[in-house]
Amino acid sequence: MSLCRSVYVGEMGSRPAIAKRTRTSATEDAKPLPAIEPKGKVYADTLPPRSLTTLVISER
Amino acid sequence: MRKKLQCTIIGLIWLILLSIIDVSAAPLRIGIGSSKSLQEFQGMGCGAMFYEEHITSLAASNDEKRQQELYDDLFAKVNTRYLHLMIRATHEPENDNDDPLKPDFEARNFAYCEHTIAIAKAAKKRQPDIEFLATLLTPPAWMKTNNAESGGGEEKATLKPKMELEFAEYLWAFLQHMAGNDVPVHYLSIANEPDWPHDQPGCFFTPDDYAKLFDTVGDYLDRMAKLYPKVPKAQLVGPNTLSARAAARDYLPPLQRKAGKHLAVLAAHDYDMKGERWGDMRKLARDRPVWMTEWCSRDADTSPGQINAAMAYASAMHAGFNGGVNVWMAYDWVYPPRDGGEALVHVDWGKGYTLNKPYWAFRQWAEPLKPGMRIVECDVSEEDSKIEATAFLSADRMLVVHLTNNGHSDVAVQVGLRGGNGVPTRDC
Repeated sequence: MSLCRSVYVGEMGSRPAIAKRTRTSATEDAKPLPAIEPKGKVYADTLPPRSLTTLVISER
Repeated sequence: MRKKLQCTIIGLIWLILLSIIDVSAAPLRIGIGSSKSLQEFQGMGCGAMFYEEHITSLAASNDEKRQQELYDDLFAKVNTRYLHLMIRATHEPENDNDDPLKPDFEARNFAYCEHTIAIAKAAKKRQPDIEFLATLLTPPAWMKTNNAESGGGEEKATLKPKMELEFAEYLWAFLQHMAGNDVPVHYLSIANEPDWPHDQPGCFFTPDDYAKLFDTVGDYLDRMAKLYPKVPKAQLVGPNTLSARAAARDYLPPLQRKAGKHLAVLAAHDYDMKGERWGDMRKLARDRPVWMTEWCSRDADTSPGQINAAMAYASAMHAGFNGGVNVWMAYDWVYPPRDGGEALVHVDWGKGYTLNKPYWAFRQWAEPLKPGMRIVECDVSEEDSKIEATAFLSADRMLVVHLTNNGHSDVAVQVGLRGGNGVPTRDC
């Protein structure tokens, strides 16, 4: 018998997880960018003007 | 005098220091996850409306290779679950007969569907699970009070009295034709923006009239499903108003009362972006899905690649998902080249096509998302910032965070993961 449980956002950083990045801006079209390493459970980035950035974080 | 000079110098030094130290340089904090439980993500969609012939024009010009590349760019490379199709007003130029239960339509009047069918099949070939939503913009002129396809503007053209069953039959005939061509229509919207006095093809319905008609169509489709079991019964989507506020406030209460049993999906467009419109629809929906069935950037946009329109699309998707929708559909895949940002792709008839910035933003947004994810709440530390965030969490521990910078300068951000309500694992 398996226990029913849930996944929580806070758990995502419990094991080191990188954030894959993709960006669309005035100069980029859904372009993959270097992944970000977290510091603890915080991911730092700089968003250029007029841009959409997508982070995909999954546990390693 | 000397003291005054000293004060001036000190003041100037402060001003210089303040200009050097960018007080906005402190990273903007974005917290992902909170105690608030949000809705399930069920999919993205887009439409093939008005310009179906442009979509198929490359093959028509004997450029089959480029045609297939376009289909790949639309349906293989963009992660969508829904394709929105248009029901035109021409497949019954005059009444077939006086018995709506005995449809007698002529195949030649469905010629316009040739392009719709080609597009739907190309989509299905690339995404076998894709589902089709069909929307009627207006019934034929002979059914309407203004005897024209136009919505009549302020005249608010509507259905003539006692035409309800003929109207239902007209819709069913489209479902039958599409099913007969291996394009079963899964969802049906009986009207397009019935709350708006359109000059373009349209048909106005008051909330009460819409609810009565919806009930009549629902009953009719139930009956036809028994008489014609080979034609799959489409689930009804409504009220599909221009305004989600109007849907929640005016149209859904009578619709739920009079035809609730037929209403599978609560839906509206999002051209009236005020208030807690999606939250209000969620309250009415209970367990049913809430779809945003159409939005586009209508302003003229001459920015490079239409990046301004792309940002407007992203902002509208943030608003929809953070507001409470399960499904978000862009208005249109394809328009001819133009300044407006209505469509994701511009097709120069028969010659080629351009993937605009709205396409790339939409593609990027849709790519990592999977039905069943949960939207999780995001808190941006400065309410007046140009930064917007939306996050999705899957049961297999994948978190997707979309971040938009609508401003005109770089913004440093720190995205922090919190606790928050969870997504049930697959064991549940």
